[in-house]
Amino acid sequence: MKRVLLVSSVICLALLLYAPVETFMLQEYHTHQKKYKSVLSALAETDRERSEAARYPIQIRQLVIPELERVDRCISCHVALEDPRMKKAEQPLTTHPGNYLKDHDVQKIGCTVCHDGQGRALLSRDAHATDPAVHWDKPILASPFIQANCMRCHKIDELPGLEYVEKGSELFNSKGCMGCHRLEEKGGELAPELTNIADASPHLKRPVGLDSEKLQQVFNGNENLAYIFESVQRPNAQPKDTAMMDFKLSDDEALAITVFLKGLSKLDVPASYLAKRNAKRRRERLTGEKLFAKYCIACHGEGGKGGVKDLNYGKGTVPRLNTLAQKMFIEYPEDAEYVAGLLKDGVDLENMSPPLDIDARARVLAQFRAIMDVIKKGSVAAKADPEGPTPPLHMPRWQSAGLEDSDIHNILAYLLILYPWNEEQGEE
Amino acid sequence: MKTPSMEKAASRKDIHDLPPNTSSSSASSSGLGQLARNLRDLPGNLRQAVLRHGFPDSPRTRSQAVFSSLFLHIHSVRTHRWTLKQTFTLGLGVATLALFAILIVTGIMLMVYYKPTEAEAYQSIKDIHYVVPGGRLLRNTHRWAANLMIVGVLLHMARVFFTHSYQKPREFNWIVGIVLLILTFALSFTGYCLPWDQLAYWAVVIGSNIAGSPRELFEALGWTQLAGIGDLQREILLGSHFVGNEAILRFYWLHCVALPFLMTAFIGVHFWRIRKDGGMSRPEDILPDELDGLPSDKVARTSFQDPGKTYTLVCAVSDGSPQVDKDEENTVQSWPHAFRAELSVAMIILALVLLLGIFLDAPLKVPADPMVPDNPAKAPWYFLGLQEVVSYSAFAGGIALPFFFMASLALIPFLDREKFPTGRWPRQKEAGIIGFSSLLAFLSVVAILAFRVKFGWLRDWNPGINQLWIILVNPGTMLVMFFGLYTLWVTWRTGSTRLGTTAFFCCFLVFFVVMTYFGTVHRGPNWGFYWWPSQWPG
Repeated sequence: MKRVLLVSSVICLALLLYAPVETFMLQEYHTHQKKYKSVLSALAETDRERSEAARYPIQIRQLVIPELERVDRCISCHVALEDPRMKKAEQPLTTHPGNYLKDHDVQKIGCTVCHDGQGRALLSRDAHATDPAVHWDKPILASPFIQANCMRCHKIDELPGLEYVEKGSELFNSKGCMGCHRLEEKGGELAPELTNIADASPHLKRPVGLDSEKLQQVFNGNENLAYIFESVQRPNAQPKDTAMMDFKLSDDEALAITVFLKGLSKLDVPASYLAKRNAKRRRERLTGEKLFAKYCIACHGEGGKGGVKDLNYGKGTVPRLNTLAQKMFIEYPEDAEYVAGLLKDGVDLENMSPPLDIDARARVLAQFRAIMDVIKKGSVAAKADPEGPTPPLHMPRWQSAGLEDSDIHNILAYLLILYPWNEEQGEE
Repeated sequence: MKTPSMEKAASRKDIHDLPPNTSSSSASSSGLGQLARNLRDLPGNLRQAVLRHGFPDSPRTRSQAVFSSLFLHIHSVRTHRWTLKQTFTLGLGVATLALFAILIVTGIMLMVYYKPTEAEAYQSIKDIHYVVPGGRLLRNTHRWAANLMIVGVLLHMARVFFTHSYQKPREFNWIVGIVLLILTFALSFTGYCLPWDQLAYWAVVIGSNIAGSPRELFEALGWTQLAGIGDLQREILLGSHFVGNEAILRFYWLHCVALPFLMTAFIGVHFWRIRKDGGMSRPEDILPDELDGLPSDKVARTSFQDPGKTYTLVCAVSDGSPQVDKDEENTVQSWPHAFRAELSVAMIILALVLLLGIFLDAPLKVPADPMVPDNPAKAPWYFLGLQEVVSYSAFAGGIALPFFFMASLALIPFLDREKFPTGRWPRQKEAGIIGFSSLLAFLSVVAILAFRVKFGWLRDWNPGINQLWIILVNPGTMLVMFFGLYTLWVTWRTGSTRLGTTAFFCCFLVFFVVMTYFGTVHRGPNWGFYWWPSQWPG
């Protein structure tokens, strides 16, 4: 029994001695900081530099940024990121690439607001948060996905070099995504809202159809990115019976939209952090064509040609809109252009003086009112088979989906002049 | 081995050379002279005040030390040699106590850094893990010790049951033991919730839903006016309608104040009862060769016809004097023999916990997210057997079944009053019953789980079924019913209540182990069946 006591006590003592040694001497950051220290003394030229290098403390280093609710300890290992002499060193001792740090004060901004990852962690595995078994919420972002986080403080058009965000935004706003998806109080409500989609928990939203190799290689194990990419490129991966159309996007296009959507994150950045140019920016008004591309094109088709199938819908496909002139009883191209011009200029067709100069004015105005009404209040898609399922697509209530009357007027103006006067009139 | 004896000699000399008390010193002419002498004598006097009986290196001083120290006097001065038999106690009680001590020490230290608020709890655990010097080790050892303590308490209970040690006069201490078991579960569960990660948050949600489950029963019965009882229980637990800041503070308070206080008090009672019930249980018919190899000393074999012990206080009663050993005493000095054995167990446990703590990190998932249920949302491992039943009915699995099991266990000493050889492991017929019951229980649990996985249960066959049926008829209640009938059958067939309770106890243990294993390994997302966690989707 004495021997058992002796052996167990010695083991306890050894373990208790090992624990502080591990804590204070054997952590990852000790290795890196020691290496940096030796580089510092090798680089030192003056006596002062030499003594500073000798005194260089090996310790946990952190950036505490209460404004952004984060504590970033990344600089415990990436200790030389502000030292221009370390450009050629290997990670993690290298200088921060580019001259981003010139405009971005590390002390004020930290690391994870741009890079994501777990700022509080001290082990690279946990800090980068890429371990797929853990499903971390915010794994570190590699290029080109890191462009997304620029959007936390900047607007798209004020920064050069955000190709993916720009391209993604352009695609997003020209494919009619917001006809069904809502984004910051605008857009239809037929499909899941996209505000904060970048924060979708990997526990809830994860890709089903991507092979794990692609997930690892392209997305660095980031399930949120892979999920967004999959949903964009292969809408029917989940759920199978989705009403979302397959836009036949190339990998590159889908990647661009993924980066753009990854920028939709709910971080509340204090005003003092926002890029100054933001404040001065004026809200630009979109043209009718742009608005149509942003909100309507997905269902009503390019150029308003219609043609998207709506399951169990009485008319089969979503109505075409390029026959608007005919629907409004406008008979000549000149009249269509005249009305379109008035609408674009923001003229009130019903109360203008002199009154609208057009044949069958009352009929035209009545139809105009009816069409405005349908767009503003939306409509229910009539079922083909009364027993069948509700058609998945229907006209949203645009007055609560972010379109003002003037926006709708602009869209109508755009549609009026689309009428194919030279061809035979459409089947409707 | 010269050094210790030399030290002993030296220390004895120190004691004998202690300066005499200076109170009668008349030579002192001035107060200052007296003060100077007092200062000179300070080390010696201080030592005498602390040690009181001299350095504990002889049987006499050691006995005095045990007798007069608050902490040591939990032991009797002499310990029965049977108690030191390693194959009898297996050191499980001491191991559990050692784990509790480790938990108290590490827990108090963790309290320095832990912040019990929704916003800060998770981040403070992160900081404990990464930045607090030794924090990672503290948290890991705390976690490991907590898990091992559950195991230790259960094994200790099994040891006491199988060695017939709950029999009269130890019935009350058995009940105290059951209370300690429940407190251990409660402490562990409340601690599980504190990191406020996904694991913790959803465990609290499950726990609070169980507290609210009387609603399920009363609604199924149609007594809607009573359904509020469940909500009230839930609110008392959470301090709110939702799991939030109030809940975290309540769990913190339970974990760090209320439950440890109760635990310490009941552990005190537990030990006190061991002393008052005549020490640890032991057979009356110990054969000399059964004690071979155990420590012995000169007086161990002395037989006290006229007890040398005096019970100064308890003797003063009219109806007979308290029983003292009639046989040969067969005791040895607690110091060193019992103490050394206990310290060895404690040290082995400490080494094990440190080893686990240094090399295996306690889990910490992503921060709690009330919008995203962890799937599967699993309770801590020791509740997964119950969660299997909770998946049918929160009331049956969370309240009825645990209440039934704990009440039955607590009543064991009163349902079985037979005299089996106290302090001995089962032999012959009893061992046969243990083997057969365990096998039967194993097969029945596996069979019902396999049936459930293969064919589904009532709700799958008839989605509109009244929940009352499911509360009454689910694998948990079916097994309990089966165990009960089997216990009655064994009692009737063998004519022995001890063999009946043995059958029941084996069923309980096997039920706990198999259901826990099943819930841990074979239950995945949406509580579906999977052969291995690696097959979980995603």
